[in-house]
Amino acid sequence: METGAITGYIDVAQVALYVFWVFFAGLIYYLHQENKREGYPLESERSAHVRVQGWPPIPSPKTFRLQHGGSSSAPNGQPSPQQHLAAEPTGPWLGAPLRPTGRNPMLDGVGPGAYALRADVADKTFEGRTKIVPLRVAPDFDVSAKDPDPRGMRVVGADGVVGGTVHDLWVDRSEVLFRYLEVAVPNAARGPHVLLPMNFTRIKNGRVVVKSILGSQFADVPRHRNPDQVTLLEEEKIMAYYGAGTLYATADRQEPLV
Amino acid sequence: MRRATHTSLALALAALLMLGGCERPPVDSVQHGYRGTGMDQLYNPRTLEAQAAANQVPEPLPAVSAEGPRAKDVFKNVQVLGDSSVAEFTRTMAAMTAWVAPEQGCVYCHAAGKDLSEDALYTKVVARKMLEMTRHINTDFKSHVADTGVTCFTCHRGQPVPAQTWFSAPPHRQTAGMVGDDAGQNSPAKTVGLTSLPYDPFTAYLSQAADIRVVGSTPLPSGNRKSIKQTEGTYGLMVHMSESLGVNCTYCHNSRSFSTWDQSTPQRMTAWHGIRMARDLNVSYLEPLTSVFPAARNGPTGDVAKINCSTCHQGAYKPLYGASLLKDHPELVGGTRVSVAAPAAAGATAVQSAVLFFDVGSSSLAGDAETTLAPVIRALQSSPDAKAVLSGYHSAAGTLSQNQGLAKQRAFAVRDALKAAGIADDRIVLEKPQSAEANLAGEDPAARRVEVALR
Repeated sequence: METGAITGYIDVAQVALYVFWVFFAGLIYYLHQENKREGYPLESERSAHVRVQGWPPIPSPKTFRLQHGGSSSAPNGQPSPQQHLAAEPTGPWLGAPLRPTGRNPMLDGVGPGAYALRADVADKTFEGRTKIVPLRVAPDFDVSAKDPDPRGMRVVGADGVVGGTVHDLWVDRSEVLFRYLEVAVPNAARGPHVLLPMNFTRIKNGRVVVKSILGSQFADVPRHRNPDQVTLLEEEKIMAYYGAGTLYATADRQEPLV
Repeated sequence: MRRATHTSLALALAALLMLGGCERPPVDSVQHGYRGTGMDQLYNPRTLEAQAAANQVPEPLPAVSAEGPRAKDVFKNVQVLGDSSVAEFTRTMAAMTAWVAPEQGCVYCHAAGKDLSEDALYTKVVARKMLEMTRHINTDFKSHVADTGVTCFTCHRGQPVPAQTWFSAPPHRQTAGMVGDDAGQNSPAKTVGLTSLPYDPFTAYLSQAADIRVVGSTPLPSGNRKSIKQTEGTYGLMVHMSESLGVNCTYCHNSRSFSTWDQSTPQRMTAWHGIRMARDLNVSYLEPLTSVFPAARNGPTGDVAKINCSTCHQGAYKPLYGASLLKDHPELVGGTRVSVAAPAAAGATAVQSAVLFFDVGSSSLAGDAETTLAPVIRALQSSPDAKAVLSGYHSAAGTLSQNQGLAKQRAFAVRDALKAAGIADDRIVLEKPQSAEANLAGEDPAARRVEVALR
């Protein structure tokens, strides 16, 4: 018999391949189960007694012990925090999309402006200091001499209207990069400074261009309570506001192209 | 700003450097297998154009009478071509001079001032052996050269030393230590297409008869002791064959299974015979000449210059794109001897057809057209009922309408020649232009023809 043959038909290569298929099936099952540590059980229109989780089932919870006290587990068994949205379905059928109902859809927390209810505390560095702070609080950080310094630049919205000027930069002390621009907005009833996430900006030709919202809409950016720190929940809301602008800043952004 | 300019300038230069080995589209492709199998040959028409110029065949010498006394009875020292007539023998000598040593002339092989029969120069000894070799190829290796055959010109191309020959590589360095031995590989060698494969694939496979096959015939290991290194040796030879013919692997193989013959193309069978032919010629004809050549003609290890695929092919799928010089030189076929059909004798036999070849893009008759047409004209004159049917052929390369137009023009040129010879217009029938089968180099001299058939 030839090397590697087990019977006239079965050989080692074939056995090894089937062993791999079995392992691979198990791996896919395991990975799919890990997929369900968030967002499960599904929300559905079925009876409240039915737990919609599909196959494989939701895994047993895993607990993360957090560095600065407390713990978090996944899945945590909590229902979705945003049960009561300022939105209504566009139709009576299942699967109908939602339409925001508030005065300003960018603040309704719907669609691209939706946010999760994260903890209302600021993130910490390894040493326990506030992680994301303005440069005025972290004097040992500064803008690289090779790069333009955005402080003092005008911030322009999608319509070309100036929304404010850059007042300061917020730096991530752990990973050493700028996370936010602090923008001074004129005539602001709710506070003089708003945060502008770095990812929503293009710094070019001596000005800061923001495509997601209009110049006039900077006044309504959700504010952070403490001028020198921003909590996880506030970060969510600020990001969600600029995100909402991608769909709601102008009416034509909701329209189909053709 | 200055810095940015310098950076972009440097980037542009680097991009240009990286584009150094590029060819621009369009390229010609020739499908060589079932659709979807990727068996295609790609040709750059610009490269082919240059190559076609280097593959022009010389004008054949006028045919001479095969009658009269034999050369062996007239001359003193004729060992190979003795069965030729004296006229044919002289014509062969003239052809050989033109093919091998057009600049040096007869004195390249015959010492000046000495009798022609003397073997005073080594070149004559070599030439005699080469005549034997040519006759051997044309007679015994029809499996490789078919009826196209070879002549001196196939290798020499008007040069006393053929452009592409090979010598055994000197033994590789074998010093002690880790870096001492290059094992006959690992340098960018032209013999193997600038790869780092073993750089002398010829000694083992085209002089000795090392086994080229390395693939086992069973799925499971059952005694095939061939190594990866032997496989690399085979790859080296295959790269050489591919480069020599200007084709890729799929000209002969379906690369999903290099070894199986039933998935290979017919060309692989031809190549199989070619490998045996190269071995035979190297062992039986060239290596025995080692001591005849002056030492300066021999290689670094003292071996004689030998034959590989590129010696004849020189980058073309068929040497000289399959143009046959042999048809004008039947004396270069050994054994059964085909007599030269002299124009004077041709009228007596019943001529049924004639083929006229044309230059690229040209519809004007070649210089030998009169000779070719003469027997047809005589046959038409002798039988007043016969009609001449003209078919123009064109290759599959290029645009169809242009080709058809050209084929038509060529047929018209032949018709005009027939009319000029006094054949009535109503006895000449013009057929539609016909496309020859897809030729592999994209440019096939055999397709540029007009056939005249008698009906």
